Amino acid sequence: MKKYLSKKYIKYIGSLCAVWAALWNVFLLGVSLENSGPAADSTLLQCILGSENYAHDFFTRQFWFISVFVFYMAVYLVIFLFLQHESGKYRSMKLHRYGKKGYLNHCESKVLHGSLYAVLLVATGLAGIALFGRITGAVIRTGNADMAAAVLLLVKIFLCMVLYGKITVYQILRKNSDFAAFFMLVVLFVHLAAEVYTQKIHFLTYTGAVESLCGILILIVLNTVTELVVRKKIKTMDLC
Amino acid sequence: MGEVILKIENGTKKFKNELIFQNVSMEFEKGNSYGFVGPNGCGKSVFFKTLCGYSLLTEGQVIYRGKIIGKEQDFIDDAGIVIEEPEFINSLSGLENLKILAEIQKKISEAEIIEVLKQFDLYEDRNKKVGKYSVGMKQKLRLAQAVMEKPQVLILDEPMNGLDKKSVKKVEDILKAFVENGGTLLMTSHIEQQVEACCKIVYEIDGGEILRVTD
Repeated sequence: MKKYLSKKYIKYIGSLCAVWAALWNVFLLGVSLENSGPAADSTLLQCILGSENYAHDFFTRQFWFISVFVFYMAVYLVIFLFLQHESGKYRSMKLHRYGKKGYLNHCESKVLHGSLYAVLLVATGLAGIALFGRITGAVIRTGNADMAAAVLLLVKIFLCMVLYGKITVYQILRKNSDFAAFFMLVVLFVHLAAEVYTQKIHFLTYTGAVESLCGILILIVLNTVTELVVRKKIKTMDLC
Repeated sequence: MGEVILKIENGTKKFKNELIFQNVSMEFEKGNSYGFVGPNGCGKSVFFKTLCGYSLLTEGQVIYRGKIIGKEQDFIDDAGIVIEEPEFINSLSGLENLKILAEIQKKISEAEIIEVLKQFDLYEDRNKKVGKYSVGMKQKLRLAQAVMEKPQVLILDEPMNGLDKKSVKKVEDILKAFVENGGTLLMTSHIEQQVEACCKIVYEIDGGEILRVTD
């Protein structure tokens, strides 16, 4: 019982933390710009996003909540696709070894990790490139030193994303390993701690703790509802 | 008469309007071997999938050791299964592929995997990527993954596909030894001689019917 509990809860909490960490990364670009000295400058935000109002809306709580919802729905949609289209011939060797429940857990875990990397690579990458382009353009136009500092911050974040992505995608493809998620979390939190320390900002302010807690609550509700639906569906599904 | 460990009762399988087999009832005893022959596309693989629990029967039930497959138990959990030429991860070696599968249940050690690879003449190529394996080597690796965890039941769909004469003889010997040691073997082939060489009881599948032809 103890073993079951520890495994189950570690996995559940780990998944939530991983989702939170990935979304936090997307959010990080905006929060960093808002909280750091040069990036808090309204002129800079105008440069980045065209208008101050739009910039404000873009990084509101709505964005956070919608991201969580869409992301989680997408994950479960992909689990169904994965179940039905994952190399069925490879699956036939795994199914009776895992059992249906174990196999579903395995799929969830793989899809969840895959989605995290997609969020890291695609969403953050695209946001990073777009912001980088805008700020670089502004720096070139105005020669503003504060903006140059913001560019460096973005470059740093972007490079970190590429590095995490490369390592974790390699790990999951090559070894099908949970180590990737663990590694990603460690690096993200070290990164977070470094940002908080160097900018001398309170941790809760920096990470948007209230939004994060609300996000996790939403995840728990969504997780329970969607898991019930998926598990009911899989009972009557032909798997090979 | 031996202990019945697997049976199908009034089993019917349909895909929409296509009937694969109808009203099939049969029992499989421990320590016995059963072969199924029939032309390509006659439903051998679908029949095996329903026995394993991968595909559910339209009507009837499959019972393994007293438990209904799909209701009380998802799959035959202590079986070695090869259905429809399962694929491996081509970028990994044969040994790495078997290790990934063995890690799921953690029943065997790496030394035991190596032993099985030796048994199937794959030891020399254990570190070669599966993508570079020949058709016959891949087939031997599939059979190795099926037997490596010392299952009670072997369910093999066309196990001799792609094997040369020497390998066929070797696999026949391994399967016969498995049955002599109390295992239950179910295998299919479209070549009757291969089934007769390994199995005591032979059935023919065709046109939705499964008929016993030899004993």
